[in-house]
Amino acid sequence: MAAQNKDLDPRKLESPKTDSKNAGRHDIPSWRILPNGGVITAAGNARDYDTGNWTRTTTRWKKEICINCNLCWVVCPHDAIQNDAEGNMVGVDEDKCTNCGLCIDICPTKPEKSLFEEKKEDKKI
Amino acid sequence: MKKTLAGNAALAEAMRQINPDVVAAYPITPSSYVVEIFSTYVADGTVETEFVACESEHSAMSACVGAAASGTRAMTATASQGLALMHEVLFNAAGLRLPIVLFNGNRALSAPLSIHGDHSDAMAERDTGWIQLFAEDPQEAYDLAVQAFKIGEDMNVRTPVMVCYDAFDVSHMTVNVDLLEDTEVQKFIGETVQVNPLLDFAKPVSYGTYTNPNFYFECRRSQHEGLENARAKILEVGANYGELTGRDFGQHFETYKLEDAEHAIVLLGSHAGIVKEAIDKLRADGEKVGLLRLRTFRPFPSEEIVKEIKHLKTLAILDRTMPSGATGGPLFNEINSALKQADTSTKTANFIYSIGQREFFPSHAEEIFHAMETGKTETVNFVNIRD
Repeated sequence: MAAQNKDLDPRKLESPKTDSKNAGRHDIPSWRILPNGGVITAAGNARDYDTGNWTRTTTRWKKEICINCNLCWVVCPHDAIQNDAEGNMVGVDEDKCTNCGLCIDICPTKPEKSLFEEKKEDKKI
Repeated sequence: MKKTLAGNAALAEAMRQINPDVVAAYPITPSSYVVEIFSTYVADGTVETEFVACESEHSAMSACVGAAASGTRAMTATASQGLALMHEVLFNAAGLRLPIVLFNGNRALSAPLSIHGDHSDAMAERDTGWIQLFAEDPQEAYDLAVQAFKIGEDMNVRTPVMVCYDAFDVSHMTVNVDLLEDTEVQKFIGETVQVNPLLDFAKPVSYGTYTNPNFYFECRRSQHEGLENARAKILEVGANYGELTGRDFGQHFETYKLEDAEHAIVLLGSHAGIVKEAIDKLRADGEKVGLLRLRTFRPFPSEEIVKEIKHLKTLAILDRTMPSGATGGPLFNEINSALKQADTSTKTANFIYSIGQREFFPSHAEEIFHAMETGKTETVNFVNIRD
């Protein structure tokens, strides 16, 4: 029988500390101190991860059409919509954007939309 | 306090005394009565439970998962096709480390359709990561039901618990059941401790997220540790329960005349009494025979079992589920592995019995003992089948 592990109590734990460079790669703690059930206990930690670095396409932004309504910011699940200090739209972070299309769907600018899908430039992996 | 109750009614009584926050269920023979009786308590207001009548067992277990993730105590009862329909959600309950309690009335699986008893349903779910405890009779089903939350909710365990009781032989058998007082049950199980509850808006959490290969393995390893830790916890809770009731649960199994036995039978569930009757008869003729009735099937208490059986010349391992092309049934394989690891010389053979509630009488147990003593056995043997 394996030794009892007192550190297993998930109430004593925070989510693993990661930064965007190391997210998903290094400094991942042992199974002994991960929260039970893979529960994520740090809300909003998407900003610590490059959630969109696996996609071939991304979402682009046309500043001249944008009405700065921020609906895209509301629906984006990955914190990919970039705002400045005043809350003005400044662009899409393609390392975070998974091109899920939620922002394109909700964007009220018509017939041409401020947000649209585009192939990423080839990157060396 | 003694009451004359069928197994299902005894479990409904345990459910009432536990007074869980949520019961989500869908009826199925033979366990329908647990929830049917319990729903009258809900209607009468004798419990504070939120009762969810679901459209399927898949939904029932899903509702239990949601409820438990929210930090509440959730329970359900099912059997057979119902448990099979819960299959994928059982993995989720265990993987998310949610200590739900499920009563399973062990029943055969289709096809052909049978409402009668065997262990096919529970055995098919043995790798879902649930703790599985097998009761012999209504009294033990009640006792295990009261202990279940105490085991599963332990901080080092955090694992759902399945209390398995045989269709009809336990579920519909009416006997005198010694019940605890409501207050004693409440005191025994205590308040539930919420771990990362979904409804804690001050500390929001995410359940059921995706993991990449760099996290998944660790999560599953941690889940395995919960089951490993359950071994000791089951004994600890069982010993405490024994102090309270005088009924000892300080072991993962019950033994009968096993200490000096040369030949023994091992099985799960309700047929132990039948084997005991055969043992008494054979002992009167001077044959050294005994029984080990296993109660804890998951986590499998290999070391503890081997200690009890390593001195035996032969051990007949009884499985109440079909091997389905395997080298014997699940119990056979578990115990054979344990014996091999311990490097013992006990000879074993597998006997498949009472599939779909085929009769299993003391005479059949005697035949098994004699076959083992004379060595006239195959690896897998079928008891009381028309050949």
